[in-house]
Amino acid sequence: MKASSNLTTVKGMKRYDAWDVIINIVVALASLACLLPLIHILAKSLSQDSYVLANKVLLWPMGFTFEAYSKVFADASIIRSLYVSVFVTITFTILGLIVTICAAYPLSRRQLKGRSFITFMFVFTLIFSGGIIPEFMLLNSLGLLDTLWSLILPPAFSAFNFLIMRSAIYSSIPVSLEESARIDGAGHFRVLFNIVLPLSKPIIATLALFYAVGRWNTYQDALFYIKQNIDLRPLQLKLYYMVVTASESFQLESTSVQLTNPEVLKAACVIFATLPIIIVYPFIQKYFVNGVMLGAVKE
Amino acid sequence: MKSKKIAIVLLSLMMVLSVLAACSKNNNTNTPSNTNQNSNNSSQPTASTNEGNEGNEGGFQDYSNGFPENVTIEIPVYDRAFEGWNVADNYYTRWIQKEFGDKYNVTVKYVPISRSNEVQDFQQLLAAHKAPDIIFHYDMPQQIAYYSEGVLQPIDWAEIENYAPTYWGNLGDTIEQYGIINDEKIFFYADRPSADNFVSLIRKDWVEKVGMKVEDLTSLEKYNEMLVKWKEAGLGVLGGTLTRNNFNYNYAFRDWPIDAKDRALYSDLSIADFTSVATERWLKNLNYQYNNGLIDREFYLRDDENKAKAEFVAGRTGTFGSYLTSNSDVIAATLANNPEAEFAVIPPYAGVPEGLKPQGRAYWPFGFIMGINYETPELERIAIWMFLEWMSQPDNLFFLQNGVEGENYTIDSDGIAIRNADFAGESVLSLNNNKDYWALVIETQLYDDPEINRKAQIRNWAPVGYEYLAEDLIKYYEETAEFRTPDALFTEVVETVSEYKADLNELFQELYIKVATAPEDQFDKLYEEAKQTYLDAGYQEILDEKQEIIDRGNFR
Repeated sequence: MKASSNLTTVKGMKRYDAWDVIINIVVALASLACLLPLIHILAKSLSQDSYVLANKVLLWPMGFTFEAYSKVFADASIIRSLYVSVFVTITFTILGLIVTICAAYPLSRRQLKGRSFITFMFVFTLIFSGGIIPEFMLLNSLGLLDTLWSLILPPAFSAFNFLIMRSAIYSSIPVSLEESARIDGAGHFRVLFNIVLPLSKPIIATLALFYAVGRWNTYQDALFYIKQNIDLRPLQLKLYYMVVTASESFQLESTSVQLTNPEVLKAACVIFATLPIIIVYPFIQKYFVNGVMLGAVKE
Repeated sequence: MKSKKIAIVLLSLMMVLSVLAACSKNNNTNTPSNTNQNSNNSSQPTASTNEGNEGNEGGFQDYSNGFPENVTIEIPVYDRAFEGWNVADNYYTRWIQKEFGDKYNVTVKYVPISRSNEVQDFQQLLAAHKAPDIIFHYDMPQQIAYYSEGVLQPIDWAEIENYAPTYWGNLGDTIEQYGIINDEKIFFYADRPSADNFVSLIRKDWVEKVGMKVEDLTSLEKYNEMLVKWKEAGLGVLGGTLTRNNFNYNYAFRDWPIDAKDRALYSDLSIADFTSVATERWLKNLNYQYNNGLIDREFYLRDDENKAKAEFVAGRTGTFGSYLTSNSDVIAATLANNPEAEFAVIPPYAGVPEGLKPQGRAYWPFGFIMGINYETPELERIAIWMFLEWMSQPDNLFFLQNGVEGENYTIDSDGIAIRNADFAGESVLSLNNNKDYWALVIETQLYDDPEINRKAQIRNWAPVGYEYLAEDLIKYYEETAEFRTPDALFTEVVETVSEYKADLNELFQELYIKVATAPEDQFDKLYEEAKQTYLDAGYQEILDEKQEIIDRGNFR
């Protein structure tokens, strides 16, 4: 990189060396790898089923139609799942942030005795966990199966996010700032609310994005925990059920009707489930790089 | 250093403790379920004592006026994620509650079981002690696996006969013949009328373009001859899919007549008989077709129906096998892409080498295989028999299958319900005509008169304008009836099957593709090696165990 910056702007002309070209190609390929599948699905969702069935639709819709979307919007269960997802994501993000801040702030202060041990306990869970089956049994014993709390409470505290938050507070807010507030008579909570939180906005925004995107996209826990009450299925789980067809064939079952949802409808649902979080992203993006950099600075 | 050492010791202590803790936890959770089972087992003798006293006391308690206290039964229902359909709460579940539940003081609760994930769903619900009262599956080996886990309780046939006389009248014989395993009465069934709408379609216009007729395809040799002509004319190739999970690929290559013991040993839908002569013939033909470019070169990548369908719809392959359904999109989609396309049913003889018979796999005479959850108490079990009895009544069954007259359907002059496809009111049926609800008693809709039944089937199966496909399908089905035989059913658990099934299925895929795509001169050598690998991977043990059971005569 250093070499390339030396080579630029000779007599006002921009010169490129091989590295620039390679880097640009790699970046272009990487972004295409992310973008093309999305465009492919979008094109499918806007096409007629017969062309999609024949695998003819690549990046441009054939037989342009909005029919699949009108079906998605007319389906009350999909809209209901959207509400569930929105509720779970918002509640989870708020709760996750409260818990994380409440753990990270005290543990970033030097005067707290035994903080390295407590931090170790948290980090321990990052490496070792009970596993899926004990977790399922625990939730069952707690009576949380088939409730939205099973999607909100267990993952609300993330040790990884806690570490980022703690280092961010530790490195960005000097102890002297806290001391000066103390001299003015502030207690712990006033220090937290009036000094630490306002100064940590970027990191809070980053973590909120981590929490929200993670929650929005995950369906595995819902697959395990939301079994009987199908009204509580979040959008991603609903999508999973619609898109995944049975891997075993139906040789043993007699069927006199077609049993799978049309490909176009599946594609429209995928777009429908992805769009909300894509729309939110640009508003938080400016905090994103900032926040991650903050978190990356270690003691 | 010292603190590091202490930390290491502490960590290892924690790990040991957590492992031990997990053990004791397991024990704890096992104990109640065992006691449950014991209590169930111990309740069983009491039930049979009742049965013994039946003569003295006048039999079972009468609940025909309803239970004194509300009884909740949990019935599993397949959730196929149909767009806009709530499986657990809809017009028909409410109707069932009103007509059956309220009458007998029973709460009927439906438990959704994902169709694509059913075994996992049942296992999780069982682990959480929340499984429904009925545990079902279409596949006998899986149902036997549930039995082996101890999650099904023994049932009392006299109890069924008492509380569900109509149901028992329809299915008593089947239950008596197939309901016993390891000398315990466990399974009960739903009826399966003999019918099959699986069809292999062929592009009729292609057949005629190369100067042949569909009726000319009387043997595999003729069929391959046609494929060569297709290739020469540049039309396309034979469609193919990856063979896995269900192994009924070599029926057309088997010798006739069959030997009952031989069939019991080798023929198994869930385990491929990779080493048999029939498989060798099948592989040899596949190898010939592959090496001569007669079959889709990437047939092994078509691992689900949609992928094979895409090839057919796009006009790259000329054959496609699927269920013939009136709402199928395959014909319309093919026409949209190839307006000149015409379709026909491939005659069953077209896949059979000269000298052999068009054999096929017959279904057992039952659809759902069901068992009662080991945790279900007596009253709930009785309520389930009463539920099956209620559903077996023709009027109730007809309503569940067809909906409201004048809204969902109208009756034509033959007495067949003609579906109103555009109806979208409150009582709209699920996409598969509510089958997941009434499949507890019967697998397909049935009219009493065979002639009317045939007409109804054609209406149900054929897209409008393609009735001849359904007619041909039924014609061929009847013509080959004598060559269709069901697999043997073991009345003992074949332990090695569940042990090796998954591994052998994986291995089969790998080996058969390797042999089928090998150069023709290496076929014999590679097949011999592959057979040995397959036998060593557990198939020999399965054969040995099955042979022992066959020698004991414990199969039907």
